[in-house]
Amino acid sequence: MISADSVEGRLSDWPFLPPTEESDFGPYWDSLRRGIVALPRCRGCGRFQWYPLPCCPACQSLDFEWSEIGPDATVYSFTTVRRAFLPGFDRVLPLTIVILVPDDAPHVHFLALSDPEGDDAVSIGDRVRLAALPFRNGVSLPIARVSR
Amino acid sequence: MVSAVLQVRSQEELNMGLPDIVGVGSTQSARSLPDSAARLAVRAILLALDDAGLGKDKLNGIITEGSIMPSLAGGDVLIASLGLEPSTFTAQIGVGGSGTAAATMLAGAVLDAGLADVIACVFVSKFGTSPGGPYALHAADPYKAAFELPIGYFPQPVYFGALVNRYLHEYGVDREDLGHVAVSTREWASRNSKAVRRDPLTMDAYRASRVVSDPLRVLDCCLVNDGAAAFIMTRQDRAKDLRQRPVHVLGVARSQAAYTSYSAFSQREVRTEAVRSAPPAFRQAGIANVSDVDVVELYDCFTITPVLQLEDMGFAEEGGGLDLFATGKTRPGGSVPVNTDGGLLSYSYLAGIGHVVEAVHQVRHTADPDRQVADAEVGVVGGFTAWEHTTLVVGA
Repeated sequence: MISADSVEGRLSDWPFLPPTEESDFGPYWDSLRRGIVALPRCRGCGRFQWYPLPCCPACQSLDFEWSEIGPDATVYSFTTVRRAFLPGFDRVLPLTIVILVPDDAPHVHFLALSDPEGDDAVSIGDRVRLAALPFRNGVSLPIARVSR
Repeated sequence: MVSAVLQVRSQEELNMGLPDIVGVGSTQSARSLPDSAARLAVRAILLALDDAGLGKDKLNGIITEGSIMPSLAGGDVLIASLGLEPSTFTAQIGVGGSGTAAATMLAGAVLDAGLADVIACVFVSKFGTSPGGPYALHAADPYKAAFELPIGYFPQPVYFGALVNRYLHEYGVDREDLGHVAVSTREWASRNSKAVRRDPLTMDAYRASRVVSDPLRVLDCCLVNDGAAAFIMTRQDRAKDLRQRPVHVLGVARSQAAYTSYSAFSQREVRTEAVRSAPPAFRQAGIANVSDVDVVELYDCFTITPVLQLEDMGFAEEGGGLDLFATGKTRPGGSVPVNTDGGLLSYSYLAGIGHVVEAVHQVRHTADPDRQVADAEVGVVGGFTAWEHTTLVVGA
């Protein structure tokens, strides 16, 4: 299980470091470090695109900007991983990963961790709020909390 | 809309010929085989040529799927090893199981154009012993590396766990019913002398198996092993006088979602591209009703995959695919025999070529007697790869 560090008030070390170097995908991880979730948005037609593509499938514009999406979303599906397929993940199992449909981007499916400190099991159709949460080792990940 | 697809045209509409499959061959399959990938591929081709009664001097074309084979046993290696003419035609099409089934489509055009006379399609699995096994290919995907591995959404059993949860939700199906797919497939495998897993499987044993990624259990996942298989194609007019009864490719069509990866999937993820590949293939083959089909060989990386394809191809209503398994229709003696060699779940992780080879055996009546479906004439192959699907119809 993922646990909170009592001194720093942060979650324990996350076992996998995301890409940090400059890349087409860097702005996504940068946005999480800044505490928001930003996705590429087409400057031509305003549509969010996820994952990033070379051009907008709706209007073929090549011009994107990374824009924050609002926190409200609906759970499309989820799974709870019980076997460690990646190094170090035995420490954070079981791990529930949810696929969300953000209100701001209704054709996007977006991956987030189910709130590791939440008590409630997540269900398909649940309304959730999305946040970027820092782990002790500096990794920030998107977290989904069930709305009450 | 994200799920927009390329228009699927059958080869009938394109006015191209379709090949006959005149030979098939499979090596042994096992968790670990000492042969290199290239050596396994060569063995499979030689077995298939021998089955056809053709010498290797007649072979002047090699078509494989395009994502895995080129690095394991590419055309250059096969030409060098088999001592083929330097002018031998080589090409790749599609990905994994979809590409192997689609090789028949490309072969039809190549044979028609006179670029080759005898074409081998081959696939080799070294997933049992290669570093990273079947996960390595996915770990190398740039989107997965950037967005999915960091959060732990990896590998295949995890994505399919999420997919199955959505399926269960949409159709109100009991998760335990997936076990009927594993049990039915194992029953067929017990009749296949080459199957890696032939020991009987019960629903109790299924229910007792470990959960890997909810709701998937170990026994929902296919085998991971080594092995290879090949089949030989030529034009219908050249196929008549060979050793085996020729098997005709009656219809083939392929569809690719414009863009879906495994997880950034469109809202239609619980459906496969068989929705679009099956209708043109069936039209071309003259299949008016799925009851015309005698055997069905469907890519079964997980228990859910053949269920989805049965629904997408019209063998069952949406949400009704599991019933075919639960009521025994897919088992030996049933009306819709599915994965009669034991599939990827219990025979061998041959990533789709095994399904083509088995369909050929069934319609020419050369399967092991225990699993031969009586009077089988028409076989359907479902080649699945996430965003891509090929439907292939064969008949004797």
